Amino acid sequence: MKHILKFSFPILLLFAVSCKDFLNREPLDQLTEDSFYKTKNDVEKALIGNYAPMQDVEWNGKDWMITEVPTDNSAPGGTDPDFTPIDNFAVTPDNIVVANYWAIHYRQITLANTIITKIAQMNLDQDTKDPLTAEAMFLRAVAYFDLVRIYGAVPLITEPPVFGNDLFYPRSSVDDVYALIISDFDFASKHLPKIWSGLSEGRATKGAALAYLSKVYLTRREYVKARDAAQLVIASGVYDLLPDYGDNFELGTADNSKEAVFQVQFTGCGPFGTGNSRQAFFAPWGEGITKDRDGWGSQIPTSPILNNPNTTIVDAFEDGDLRKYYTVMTAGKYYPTINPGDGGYTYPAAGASASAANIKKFVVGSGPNICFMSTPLNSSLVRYSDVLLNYAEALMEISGGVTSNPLALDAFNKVHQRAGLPPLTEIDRDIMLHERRVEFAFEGHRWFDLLRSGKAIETMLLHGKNINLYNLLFPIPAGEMQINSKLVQNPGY
Amino acid sequence: MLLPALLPSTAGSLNPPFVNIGAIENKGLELTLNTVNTRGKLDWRTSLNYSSNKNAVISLGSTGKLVGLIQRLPVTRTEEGLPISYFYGYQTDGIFQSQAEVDESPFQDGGTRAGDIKFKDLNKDGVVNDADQTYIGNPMPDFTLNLSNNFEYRGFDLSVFFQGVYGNEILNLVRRDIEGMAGLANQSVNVVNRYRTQQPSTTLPRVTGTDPNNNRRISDRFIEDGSFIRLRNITVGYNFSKSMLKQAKIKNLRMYASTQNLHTWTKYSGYDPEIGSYNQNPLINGVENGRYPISRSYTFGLSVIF
Repeated sequence: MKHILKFSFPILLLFAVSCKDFLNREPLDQLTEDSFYKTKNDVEKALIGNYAPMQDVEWNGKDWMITEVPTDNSAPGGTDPDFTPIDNFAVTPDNIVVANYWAIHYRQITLANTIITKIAQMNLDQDTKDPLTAEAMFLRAVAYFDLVRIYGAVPLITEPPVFGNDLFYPRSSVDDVYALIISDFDFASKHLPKIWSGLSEGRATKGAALAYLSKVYLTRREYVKARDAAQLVIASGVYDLLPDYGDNFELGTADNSKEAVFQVQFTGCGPFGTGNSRQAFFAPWGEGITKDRDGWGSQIPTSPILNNPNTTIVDAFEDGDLRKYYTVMTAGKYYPTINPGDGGYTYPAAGASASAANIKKFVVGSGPNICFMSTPLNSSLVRYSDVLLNYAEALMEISGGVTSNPLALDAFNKVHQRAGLPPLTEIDRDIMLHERRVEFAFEGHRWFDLLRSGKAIETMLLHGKNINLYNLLFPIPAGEMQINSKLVQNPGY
Repeated sequence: MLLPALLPSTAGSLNPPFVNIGAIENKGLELTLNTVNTRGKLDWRTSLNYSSNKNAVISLGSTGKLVGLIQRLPVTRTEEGLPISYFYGYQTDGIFQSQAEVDESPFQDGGTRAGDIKFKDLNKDGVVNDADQTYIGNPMPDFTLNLSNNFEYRGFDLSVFFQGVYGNEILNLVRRDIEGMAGLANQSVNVVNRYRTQQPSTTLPRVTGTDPNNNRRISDRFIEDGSFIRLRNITVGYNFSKSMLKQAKIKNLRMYASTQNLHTWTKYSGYDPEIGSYNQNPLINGVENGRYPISRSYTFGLSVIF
């Protein structure tokens, strides 16, 4: 009995300690969200992680399924049953592509929300906090800008998910989503550095935030603000067009070039996310140019043998437009930089992948540190030519859709003349839409350009597609609708 | 019931915490009958095991309902009063045989034509939409039976083990791909029986390339009876008599042959009706998504003890 008492006393004492402290222990072998954020350096590490969703195959690897496949630029090749309905405006809420696009964008938003909230709670001075917050806000706004254009009014979430809180958000309004996008990019444009160097090269900059702001304002038809934002990027002197258009898609010249305003960064062959996965989807099937595995040809250019003539991307280029060679591979074209060890690559005269043409952009072949589905080539989200065309578009819209304003023409012609074409003396909406199409084909702009110009329906009807007004928004994913009963589906689905 | 919290992907697709979500009730009966049928020269023993179980979710607290998703595609629901992870989708009502039939029926899609699947408008509002989805099947069996027989006769022994599962349903997502007739992927030979104008079908819809009617949506079209009887194991052996072995200084010598999963009697069209849960997710049971089937194996053996 004595012994029992002797031993039980310390044991009882253990239980006397508040049960809460006893059970709620920080794990010692790993970092948690609560223990991680201590210094500026910790926030920087978290911020680098916030870029990861954009590098993910669901975003960079597959966003063309949403931004190019519904347009007259491309058609789905290969066998995936989820691409065909997108191409034909028969998409349904249970489409996996639509669900993944939604989820990967909200992942980036969630990471940004967490970082923004943590920074606010940290003991750092304001001058240290602001650039860090600005970077997370930039990444959040990039994601929301895609979401609001694809799905319309999406749930507007600005807080990290705290379990126990109500995490089932209803849809917000389009205006409120844009208000956040604008305030985020605005804050970012004021607090991000002009340039990054060394290992930080490629992170979000002031110029990138302003470039996005100009695109957001164009989309909102606030043309004076769009012009001013683009003007600030041009006047910054940080950027310039590369002399050769094709250098934007070549290893060694493309990454973080003068023309790169904002790119998704890739290092090369490695696990998912470290390399650019687009090549796997774009490289022609049956040609063996990606070596370790063959290209899938999942996205193929619209071409006269597949689609209505005169509306296809292969027909779209004017004679003498140097961009065509770097955008689509057509009969007999020779590419010395694809597998130079084999003497380069010549696209067959009879076509490949059951198509008269294949995409050239992002197809770089094979080599050291270049894998089939993991290449070191960065993907541009904003090139300087985009900023110049934003500027010209804003000026054109300010003057009612047609302009011969020398400032607008100068910006426009810089892009146009680099492609080997003679300068224009007047530009209008059709010319602008066409220029953007041939400049940015397969870079994820076309669907947004068609929406912004109001020509999506007209263009796609001409291309032979059965498109209705409701198709201008994609459906809210079926899984989200079922889990979150506060969501209301877009009309028509 | 401890489950990972179900969060919308707007919460960032992070690993959700486990929470005590509610309670389920399993009520059933388990009977085992062991008999010795004959003794003596022929020794024959039988063991019969029957177990039935009725599963129902009795409470989900404030959660209301749970959704089971495979690659973000919702396939099951878990709700109070119903069995856990029941299949959720549309009920089909045959194939439209004419445009007139399409016109007379509740609206499905502007592109719906003869040859498309007719889905039931359960709430009778004239439109087939999300609200018409319902319970379309239960992955839990009504009962399972195990029967083993063991025979011994003059050194020979034989054991035969049957396993039976009755009354469970399977959601065959593989058929959604190989009979979906969307995209350019290879299809099952069954699609030769699809609806064609010249050759109307009442079982498989038309092929369109775009599938405006979304014939591939989760519906009872892909629900199959998962009942089966499987000859799980047969073993035949022979033990040499001790007296014979004494001279060879061997204590025990046994030869045997055994086979696993020799045959399965089932109406299920896939490789293997024994599916279980998807990625150990308790909210997704009996959903066929290309699971590697159980293998058939033959074993021959010689056991010698000196």
